[in-house]
Amino acid sequence: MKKLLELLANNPAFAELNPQLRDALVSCASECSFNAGEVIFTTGDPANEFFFIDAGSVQLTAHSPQKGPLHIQTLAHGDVLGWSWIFPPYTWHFDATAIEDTTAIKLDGRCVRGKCEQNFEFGYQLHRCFSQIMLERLLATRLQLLDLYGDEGGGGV
Amino acid sequence: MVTDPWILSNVEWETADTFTLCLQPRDGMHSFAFAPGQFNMLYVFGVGEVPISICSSPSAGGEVLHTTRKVGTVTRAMGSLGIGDCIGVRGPFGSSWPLDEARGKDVLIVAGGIGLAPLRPAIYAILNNRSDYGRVVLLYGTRTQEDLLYQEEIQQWRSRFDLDIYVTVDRATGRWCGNVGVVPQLIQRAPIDPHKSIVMICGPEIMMRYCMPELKKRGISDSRIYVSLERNMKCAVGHCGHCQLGPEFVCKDGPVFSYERVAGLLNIKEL
Repeated sequence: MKKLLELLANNPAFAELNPQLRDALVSCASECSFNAGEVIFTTGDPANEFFFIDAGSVQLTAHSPQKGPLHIQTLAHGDVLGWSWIFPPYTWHFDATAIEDTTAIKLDGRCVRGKCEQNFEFGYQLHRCFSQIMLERLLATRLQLLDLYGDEGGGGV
Repeated sequence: MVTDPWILSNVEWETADTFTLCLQPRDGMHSFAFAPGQFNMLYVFGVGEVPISICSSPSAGGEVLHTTRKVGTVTRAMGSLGIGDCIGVRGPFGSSWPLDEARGKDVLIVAGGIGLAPLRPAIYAILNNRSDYGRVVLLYGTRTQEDLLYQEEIQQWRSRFDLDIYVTVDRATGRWCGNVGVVPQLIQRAPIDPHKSIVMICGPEIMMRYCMPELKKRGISDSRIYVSLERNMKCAVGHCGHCQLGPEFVCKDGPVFSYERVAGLLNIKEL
């Protein structure tokens, strides 16, 4: 699973994961692909996996009865898709759909959770990595909420 | 320091509240030289004077373009001017983007909202001398697709094979099928060699601040990052002090600064 090791090494959140822990992660991984328009997961469904996107792009959406799917965020090469597998009740909070033909590395969430229970060092390190990703997503969400480019927002002279 | 009367030859509305003024010297013969990143003081007679970046190509003679948004008394008055009306022009003022330093290197251009306007002359200059530069990447973010500036031009740039463009919006509206997210998140995707890159950033200061950790993660040092700052400029020649940022006068020493020079000043709230 050379591709996953490469994606882990190039992802700042996972760059410090030691080689043994990376190997443990690799043992839960498999390659997968999605066609453009294919639904990857749906809100409320069991969340038993997560993905490292290798090529292509994926949109995260929330469904509104009045407005249909609302595009919240786009994920692309190197991004991690999915963290609902970490916390009970292990169900997806949003929908994910491939925007274009997409290849990814799928990690079996049950396998990874099992390793976290067996090896607390692995669990601690992995949760640190995901905390970093969540922090980045939280910052990005706050920036979106700030409406930076509104009337009060600047942008050069 | 003296205001020259120029004639408004055209007004192009870029979005619902943002427009580009096309100005020509009244005598028609006057040559106007500027460097990408510099600004002019534009005076609406009887209303007031504001600093606006020049957004046309530095090598194109004739009309000089300025893009601005209706946010205050003067820019609202500008938006209601008609073709043939007169505007006072003082300039050009200030520092410019480091195009010479960028020669032979990759160039990462990061723009947010109307911050694309001061970067546009730099993009023109790079494209006019394309072989002097390595990979050139533009990351551009706005609130929604309706707020994107220079849409036709961006489409033209996208059709080139020597310029990578990534556009993102904070909120997807209508039939937007592009990227949704904030500009700092695009930095990790930019196909540049971080060890031989120059970065030019212009946008809201908060956006620029959140770009810095992402650039650091890519291994780009502060000395190779340039930002264009916005402050309350009045005289434009470093006398009045309205735009003072610590030891710097943004109008005279800026608006383009090496991030290394101003990094320590940007987090001081009193400034």
